[in-house]
Amino acid sequence: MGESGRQGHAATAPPGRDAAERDRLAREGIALGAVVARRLARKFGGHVSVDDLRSLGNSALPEIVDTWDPSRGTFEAYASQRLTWAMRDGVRRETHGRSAAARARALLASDRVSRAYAADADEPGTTAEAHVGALDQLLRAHAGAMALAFMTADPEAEEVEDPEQRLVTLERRRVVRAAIAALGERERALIERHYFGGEQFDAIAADLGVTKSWASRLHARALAALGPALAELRDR
Amino acid sequence: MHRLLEDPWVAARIDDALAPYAGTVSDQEFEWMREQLAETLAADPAAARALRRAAPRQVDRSGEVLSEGSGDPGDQADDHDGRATG
Repeated sequence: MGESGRQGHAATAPPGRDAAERDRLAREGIALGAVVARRLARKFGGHVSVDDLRSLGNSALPEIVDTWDPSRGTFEAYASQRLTWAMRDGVRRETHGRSAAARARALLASDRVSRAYAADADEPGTTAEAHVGALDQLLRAHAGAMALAFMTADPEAEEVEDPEQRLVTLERRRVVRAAIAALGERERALIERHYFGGEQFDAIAADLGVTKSWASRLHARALAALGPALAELRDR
Repeated sequence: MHRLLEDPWVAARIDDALAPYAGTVSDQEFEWMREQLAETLAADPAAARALRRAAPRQVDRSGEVLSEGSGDPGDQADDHDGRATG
C-alpha cells in the first residue's frame, strides 16, 4: 500500500453515507484535487504535468470519500492531505523521470519530519538562543530528509543511463552510508532499512519495538544529525 | 525565489542547514531544497511557529521593539500562498 493509504482515518466508511452524499464529496474532491495538483506541479518544477497529478488524485478519490470520518475533521482538510499524499506517492511509484521521482520521495521524507514535529509536545525554550537552536534543528531535519532521499536514489530503479551520472549516484550512496554509520544504533537501523532497504516505516518501527510516533521522532533526530555527520566526514 | 529567502536572516538559517549537502546533491536539487525549506517555514505549522519564536524582533527607528506579529518573518510565513500556518 502506498503512503496515501496508510495515514489518517480508519479504512472503513462510516455507515449511512448515501450515493448522493458520495457524489457531492467526489465533486468537491475533484475541485480540491485541481488546486493540489497545481501546487504540486509548481513544486516539481514542471517535471510532472498538472493533468497527470490530477489523474493520480482522481484515482485515489473513491477511497478518500469512503474513509472520511466527519467526526475527525473537515472533508476539505482530510481530502487535501490525502490527495497530496496520493499524488506524491503516485509520482514516486510511476517515476515520471528521475528528477520528479526523487523530488516526490524527498517531499514524502520531509512530510514525515513534519508529522514528527506536529506530534511532539510544544515545549518552547525560554531564551532567544534556545529558539534559534530549535529552528536550526528543525531545518536540519528537513534538509537531511530531502537530501537523503536524493542521495539514496537507486540508479537502477531511477533508470539513470548516463554512466557518469550513475557513478555520481553510486558515490553519493557510499558517502551517505558512511555518515549513517556514525548514527546511534536504532537511528542507523531505521534510516538504513527505510531508505536503502525500501522497507515500510511501520514495519521497521514494529521490528525495533517502538511506536510509529517514536520511530518518527528517531527519524527526525537522525536526519538532523546527518548533516553534521557528513560535514565531519568531509573535514577528515 | 521564495519570499522568505529575501530575508537575510532566514536565508542564512536555511543555508546553514543545507551547507553539509553542497556537492553531494546536484545544483538543481540543492536549489530546490532551499526553496522547499522556505516553503516549509511558510506552510508547516510547527516550522512557522519555530520561525516566529526564533526570528529577531524588528526594531523601529525610535529603538522600540515591535510586538510579535508586526512584520517579522513569521508574518510572511502566515500569508504566503494565502495559507494560515497556525
